Amino acid sequence: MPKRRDIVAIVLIVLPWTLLITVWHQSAITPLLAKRKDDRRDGRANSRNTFALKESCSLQNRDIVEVVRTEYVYSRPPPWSDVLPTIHVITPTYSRPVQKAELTRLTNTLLHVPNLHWLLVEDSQRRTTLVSRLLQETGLNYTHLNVETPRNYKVRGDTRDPRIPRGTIQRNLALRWLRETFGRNSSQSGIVYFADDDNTYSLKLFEEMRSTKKVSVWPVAFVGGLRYESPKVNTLGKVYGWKTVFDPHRPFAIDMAGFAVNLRLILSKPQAYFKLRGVKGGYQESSLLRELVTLSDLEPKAANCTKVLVWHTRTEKPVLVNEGKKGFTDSNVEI
Amino acid sequence: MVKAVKYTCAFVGILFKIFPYSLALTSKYSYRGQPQNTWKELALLHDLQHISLLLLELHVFGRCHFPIFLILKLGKSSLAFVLSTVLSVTSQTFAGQRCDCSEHDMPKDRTISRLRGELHRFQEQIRKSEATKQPQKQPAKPTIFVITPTYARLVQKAELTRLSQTFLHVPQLHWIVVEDSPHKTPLVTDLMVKSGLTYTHLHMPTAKDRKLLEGDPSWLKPRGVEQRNEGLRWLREDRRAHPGGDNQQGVVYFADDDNTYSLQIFDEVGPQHVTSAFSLLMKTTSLHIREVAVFLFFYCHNCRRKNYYPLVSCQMRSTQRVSVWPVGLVGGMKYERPVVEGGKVVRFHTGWRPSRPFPMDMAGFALSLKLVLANPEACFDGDAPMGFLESSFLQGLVTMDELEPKADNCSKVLVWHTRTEKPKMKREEALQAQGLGSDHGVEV
Repeated sequence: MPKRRDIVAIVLIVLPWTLLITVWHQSAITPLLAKRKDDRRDGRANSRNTFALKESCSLQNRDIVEVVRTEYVYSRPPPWSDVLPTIHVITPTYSRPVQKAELTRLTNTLLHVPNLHWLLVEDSQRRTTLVSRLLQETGLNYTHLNVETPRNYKVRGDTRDPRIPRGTIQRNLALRWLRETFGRNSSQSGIVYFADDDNTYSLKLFEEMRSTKKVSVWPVAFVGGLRYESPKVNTLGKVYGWKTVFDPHRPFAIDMAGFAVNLRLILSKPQAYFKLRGVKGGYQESSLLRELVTLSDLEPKAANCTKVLVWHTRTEKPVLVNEGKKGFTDSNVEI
Repeated sequence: MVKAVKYTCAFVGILFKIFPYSLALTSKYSYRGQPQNTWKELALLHDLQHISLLLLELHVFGRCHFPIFLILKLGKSSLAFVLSTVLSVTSQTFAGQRCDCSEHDMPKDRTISRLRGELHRFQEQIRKSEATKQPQKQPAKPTIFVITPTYARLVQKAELTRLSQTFLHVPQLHWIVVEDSPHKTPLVTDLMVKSGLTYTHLHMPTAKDRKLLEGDPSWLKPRGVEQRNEGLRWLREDRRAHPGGDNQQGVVYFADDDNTYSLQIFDEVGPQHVTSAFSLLMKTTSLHIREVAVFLFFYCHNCRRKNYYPLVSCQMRSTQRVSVWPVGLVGGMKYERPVVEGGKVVRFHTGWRPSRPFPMDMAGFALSLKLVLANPEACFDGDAPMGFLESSFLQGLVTMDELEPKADNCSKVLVWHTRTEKPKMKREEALQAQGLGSDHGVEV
């Protein structure tokens, strides 16, 4: 007799809670809550960031984050600030043996930068698990896109033919994503930067580019066959030319890593994209910047373009002779 | 009569649970006029429900007539209570994630977020200014001593910059940079100071006959030998000068400046996982101290599910003698690795001269500081044949079965032996011939 009573009582206690969790919370609470009006959150609708804490709303929860941070001084990534403009870093990438290594060290750099949104665009038909897993594990605020370069545009073998623009379609897709996500008249403050996965960036660079009003420029090392290429800046602090040997008469003789654009400018000119066809070597950047800004509007950074904050490093292709035809190593191990 | 009372109480309890808003209407936590509710209020409501539940249970079981079940009475009610608290924690875990209170807390959140950003910046500044001082006296973890030989070339600053950015994520790391130069260069000095790391800057020039000449392939002569030996020498001297129990704790790792290191090799658990687990702990302990056991269950479950390394076990840092792991893109293969059977290294999987005593790359092993200090004569032999550099060092220190496999029994690649291309300087050289080279005042 007491057994049945107890069972009934336990059921009476457990059942309502089960209902509460499964049915009530799913359906009842969500319609009651007001629609999310924050644009910033809409902007990250596609990203699967691991900011689980941000989704919860109890004030207690946020305070608790501070408790933990004193134990781990190194918090990665840095806490999101509402005053700093977001830097949207667009990185095209493609599958090759050093891809994971390149992306790993790029994430190690980006994890130091506050208010960063990483748009990683893969040159592939489908999003690869390697990249998806890497993005999830880093904890960065990211958006993972992919678009495959049509075969006739792809580089044949591994000759780096400068006439075929690499990563163009991927960058254009990222620009389109930004325009679709933020809408034309958005008041979002942000900076767009094109970062290749094999370059080296100093942390100071990201801070310099945050104050971009239209388009800012700075020197880049190891491009154009020189130690560094840089814009020529006159005493008034205006850019009037380009200190480069390779075709200095280009409208914008600058490398992809040498400029950053304000997001509002990108959004206000929805037809500005990188030109795909008929682009001469070294003119790709000009094809975009020409539609956005004129030479006099450029803002020189890095101490009036006298310091080098980004290096156009390239990683050697690893020699894989010992793999042989069948592959010596286990192909299930991800590298 | 008794039954009726009991079941009425049970029904009232259900009512209180399934219709929390009905309770809210009768309580001072009224939702009238507010289109959304905060989780905090729901939590308070949940407390109220708990109290009502407890009263209900006491009533239901208190009416038991059998004295023999007096003991069971207490047991059963606490069991029921534990069950209900388990479910409440579950509901908080899962339900909380769907809550959106941004509108409600927006102004406060903005201020807090801004202040937090500023606080973080100040913390960074403080940390940077203290970085070059003595390492902390009481390290919670063993320090990782990373010895990096470097030499002047065009990409040196870039390589060291991105290496320092990786190391900046690792706590308790001491970077020993040894330059291949007769004196310390200002480029490296400045870089180390600005990096914000705990560092030691040394220099040791390579003898002329051992140096690689322009145009020599990189594998012709062993590189970095004198520099690594100098790093070891400094480490031994420094530890001897500061005797103390704690000083013997540490791990020594040889990191080349052009390799790529994942943070997992240094045993860095992603803080976003830790904070979410920790926040769960804090939340539960502040509300229900009895639910700590439940939290632990969720924490461990969380760990296993997300497949990261729990706080207790380590990668490099837990080295007792010598630990090893796979290295990617080396030896002419996608990766080289030690083959592990039964938790022990039995042989090495490598395509190039596997008969070497330790056929692995410099970046594929780490030794404990104790071992380094206990063998003051152990150093790299520059005269060893090609590829035997690591073996020349490890041979006297450890045997193969003493090696500790890391990186998930040597099945994951966490270090890559990347190499950076030499930048093409044709135009620069042409300009310099004309005397119009780029400004050398600008450091690259």
